[in-house]
Amino acid sequence: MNATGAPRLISVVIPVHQGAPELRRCLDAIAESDVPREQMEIVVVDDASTDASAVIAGQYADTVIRLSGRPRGPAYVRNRGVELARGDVVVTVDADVCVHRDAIRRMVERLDADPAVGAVVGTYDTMDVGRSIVSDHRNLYQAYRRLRAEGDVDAYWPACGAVRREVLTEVGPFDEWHYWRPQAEGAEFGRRIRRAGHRIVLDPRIQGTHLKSWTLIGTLRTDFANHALPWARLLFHAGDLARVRTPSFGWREKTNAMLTVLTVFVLALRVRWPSTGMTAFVASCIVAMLVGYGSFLRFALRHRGVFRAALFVPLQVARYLVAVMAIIVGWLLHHLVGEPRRDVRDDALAEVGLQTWPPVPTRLPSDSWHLPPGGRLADSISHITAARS
Amino acid sequence: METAFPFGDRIAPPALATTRGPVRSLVIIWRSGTEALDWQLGSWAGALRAGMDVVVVHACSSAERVRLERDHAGVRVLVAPADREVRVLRELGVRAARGDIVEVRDDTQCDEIGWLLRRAAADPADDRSSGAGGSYRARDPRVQSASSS
Repeated sequence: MNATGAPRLISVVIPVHQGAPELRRCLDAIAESDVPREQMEIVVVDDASTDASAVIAGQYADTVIRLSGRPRGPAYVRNRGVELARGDVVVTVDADVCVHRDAIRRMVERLDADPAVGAVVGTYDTMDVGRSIVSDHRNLYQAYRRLRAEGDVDAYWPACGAVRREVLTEVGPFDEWHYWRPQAEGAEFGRRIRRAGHRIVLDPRIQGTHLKSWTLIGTLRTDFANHALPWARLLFHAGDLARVRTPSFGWREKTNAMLTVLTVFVLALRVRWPSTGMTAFVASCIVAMLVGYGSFLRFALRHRGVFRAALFVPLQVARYLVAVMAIIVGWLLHHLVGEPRRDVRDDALAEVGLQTWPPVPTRLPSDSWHLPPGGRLADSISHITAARS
Repeated sequence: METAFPFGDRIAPPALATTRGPVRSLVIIWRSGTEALDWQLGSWAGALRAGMDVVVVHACSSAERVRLERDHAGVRVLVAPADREVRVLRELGVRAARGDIVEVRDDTQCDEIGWLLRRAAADPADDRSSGAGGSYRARDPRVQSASSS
């Protein structure tokens, strides 16, 4: 219920790019939600797809926004949807996620239960959707991390999350200037929500099935370039890499990453300088690493069986190595380059102030790249306002 | 299942951004009587005058289509078989719509004076109710009385 006692209007914003088959299943899942349809407004934003995404969206959605030109990424696309959304609560769902029947209701109930909660995020479920082993590992691992991370987090998760309209208005939309691919826009948005004094709660009962199919190269590239690297750059900028609370940066993750790097390092030494002592050391490192992985491997064993769980070990090793490499590169880029640079065409158009459709990406006056480390959002906004006047 | 549509597809986007604003379309899926449709289109007259692209998907005769397009200038009526399911009709409407922003409504929403209209009537000053084609202004007296009570 909203302030006037009327049922809340919930806007579900779904960005899509070349995702027609998954979009249909995503929209089917939303249509089967236990929230009455008249309380939901479905807004699908098509990011310059050349497949039938917009047409499929039209079969279900109240509003379809068809963006032309080149794809501009989910942050930009979600913002276009949010601009037209009318709901008191804005739910963001990725086009390749099938939310469970009760997910949207649970999001709204969680927001209703505590006014201090500005946003709610959920998790992937553990369902095996029959994709490759790489996809299964990735989805199961994400589910594992998030299912264990109930409570307050610092990052918003746009794949399956909800935010109050007033919080969105207060902190501003997703940062479409710095994130033009599916990158760290949720982390950046979450930082602003937290800095404005609102809570972000991860509720593991809010679940969706991830339909995305991954290849090994694709998942490693995405982990490096779109997840770990932008996160690392943002967190180095903010200076709180050690303090951030998200499922990706828990103590277990950090320990496992260090154990993995150590194991690979001593294994390389053992290959170069074989000795009995070195072999024993390598063996003990591998044991320590597997003990570190133990919690996830037990989880995988329970949901997928011995064979799959065993196959997940090398994939875990690759993930941690990529993550550590990305943090090192992120540290270098932070010191050598600074903030991520926008595409030069957008930079030029923004400078000229040309009004176009689709609009030129805009830089928020309050994005995390403007905030001084440890600074408050309100201080930053008042400082910028004073400078402009 | 996507169906071929003779009125022209707008699936592939233009290659470049344009300096105009977004074109807005309203697609109305109408399976009720034509009289009610007349009334409904009358309530959208403001949007039509503002140049909004309005597409009605309706199982009417060709003569009725001509009359509707004459009486409600700017409306395009697509004659669709009555036995098609609503998703197919919505797809036809969206394919025919010219807009960058397409709003889709069906007659269950309109007939019950749907939630968007109720919301707009409850708070006309709320600019969130002015998404596509300007503010929604319901002309049904039931909505007016509901908003005043």
